[in-house]
Amino acid sequence: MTPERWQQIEKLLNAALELDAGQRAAFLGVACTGDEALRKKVEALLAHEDRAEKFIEAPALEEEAKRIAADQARSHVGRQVGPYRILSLIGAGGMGEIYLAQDERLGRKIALKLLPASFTQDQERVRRFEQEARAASALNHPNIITIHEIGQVDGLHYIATEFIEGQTLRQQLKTARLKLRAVLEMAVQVASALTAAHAAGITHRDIKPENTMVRPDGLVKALDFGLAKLTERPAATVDMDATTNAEVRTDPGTVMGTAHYMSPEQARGLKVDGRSDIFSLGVVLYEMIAGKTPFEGATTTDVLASILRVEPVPLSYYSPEMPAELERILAKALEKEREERYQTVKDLLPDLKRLKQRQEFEAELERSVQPGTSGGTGMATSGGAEAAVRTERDGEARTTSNAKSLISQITSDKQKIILVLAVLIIAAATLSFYFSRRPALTEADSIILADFVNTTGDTVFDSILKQALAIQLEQSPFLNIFPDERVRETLRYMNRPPGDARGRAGDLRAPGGQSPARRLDCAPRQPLRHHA
Amino acid sequence: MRWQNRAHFFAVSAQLMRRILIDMARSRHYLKRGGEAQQVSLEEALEVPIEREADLVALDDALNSLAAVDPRKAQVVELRYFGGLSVEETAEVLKVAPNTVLRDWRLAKLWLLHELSGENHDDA
Repeated sequence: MTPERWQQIEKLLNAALELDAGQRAAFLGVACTGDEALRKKVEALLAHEDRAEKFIEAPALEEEAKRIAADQARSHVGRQVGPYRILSLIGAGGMGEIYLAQDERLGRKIALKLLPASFTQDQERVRRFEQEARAASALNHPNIITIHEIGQVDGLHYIATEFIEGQTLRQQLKTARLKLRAVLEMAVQVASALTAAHAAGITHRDIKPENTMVRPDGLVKALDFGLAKLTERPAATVDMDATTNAEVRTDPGTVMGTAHYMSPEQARGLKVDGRSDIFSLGVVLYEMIAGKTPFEGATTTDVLASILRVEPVPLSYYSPEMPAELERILAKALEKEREERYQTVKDLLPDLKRLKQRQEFEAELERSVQPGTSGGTGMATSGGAEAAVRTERDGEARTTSNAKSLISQITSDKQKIILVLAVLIIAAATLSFYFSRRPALTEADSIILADFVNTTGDTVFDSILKQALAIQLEQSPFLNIFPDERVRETLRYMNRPPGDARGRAGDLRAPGGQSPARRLDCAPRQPLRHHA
Repeated sequence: MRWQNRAHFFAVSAQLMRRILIDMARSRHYLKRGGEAQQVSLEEALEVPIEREADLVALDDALNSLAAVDPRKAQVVELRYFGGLSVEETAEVLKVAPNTVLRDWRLAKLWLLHELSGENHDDA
């Protein structure tokens, strides 16, 4: 092809590309009159249009790096490393490749992590790593991956661990929208893992969704305890403004996102402790709900700057129905000054657990309300009205389904009911105070939670009222709930006939005045009559 | 060597990178599939890596052919694909408008795919 001929073709190509596919044949038919070869040539070139879109779009070097990594991985499959025979590649990360392998001695499957040579050339680093890995291998906790062995064969450093079937949290985040309850469940498990590790003096340093495995049965396992130490340089001397000091992994093939989960002290290259893990867990928790990490940036440096300076967007922006308590927990976990943060995971864990329990209870409550609601669409059918995370703000206005509004109505009714019950309980407590003739209610005192007669006509309240009250009261560290069993026993012992001292809770009217109001009479079924 | 300017530096880097990568590909001994259509492997290098070596060498040849009829388009490919430059950077190096780079890039890809597909026997 001569340059002149090509210029001719080029002109026609450019013109044809501007046209819709359907118009091109006609256009070329006219434009190439008398030169059939020219038309054929242009059409042949145009035929590659679809493939051209992706062709050589990624730079050659990037492709090459991927290819080399893939080659390397392939070369290990089938290889024998100590007692392990490598079966297949499971994953790869900045810390090396992970393979599924067969332990020939014990005949079981294990996960084998091969450390990249670049990390193991520095003897001092290897020594520190082995020390840490040994400590981590002593950790015995259901939420921490079990390390079977660390070893070295032909200069190849490896770690043999339990093989966990499941997905990483990262994979889960990509495919599924997590419910708040699931999110809290996972956070609690990671926090439990951290509690055990911190107690043993081990800081994880690299808590992130990639390092968190979720088994199909819901059990969460934290991976790579202490491994991050391998990629860290010795802690920099204190230099409060030197954000550029931060050591960020930039190995090819490593996801840039690593910086997103760093604590401010890590971003500064300072020495870290357990509080750094708390921050990272906060970031993960935030991401599970918001769908993005709290500290974003176009480049690693921007992310680090954001970690050091930016206050995260409140969760309510992404998910208006998030409980305020969660917002508080996150704010405390994500405090930039570690002195202001939760000081230990032991402080964070009960907060998470309490929130999870409350969430479970509310979901339970709404599930039991469900059969009574009409419509049965939207949230009502999705098994409880658990707050669905990640509500798109910029989407269309959220449709409020019939069922949904009913549920919110019931929820607000529920709060009123609880309030009324609380008043009743206080009354009961007062009575028991007189009964026992004790001067004041102390921690040693118990509260008797009597049965309730549900006269609302709404059967769903039959069982849940008492449960609701019990759970609310249990939130207080100062109250002891007297077990049901013993109440009945005592009544039998006292041989008291059922009296008529019925507490009336009054009417509860649904907001907006629609529908017949639920009337609720609450009274002890076997009222206690107290005589001096 | 002294760099005359930034553009010069980029141009030379892209050239060097091209040479290194092609040499690497050549030195691997897979070269069994000459000019057949193997375009997919560039995108899916992880899945079909074996075809890639042949691919890269074939691409290099095709790029040389392109340079003979349209040197600037070949340069755009070199800068973008081997040099990893963005459209704007490429425009800066070649001292043309970014739109021109985009048009060149689009046509060069069609040209290369056509060349690599082996249909290009005739010299119309």
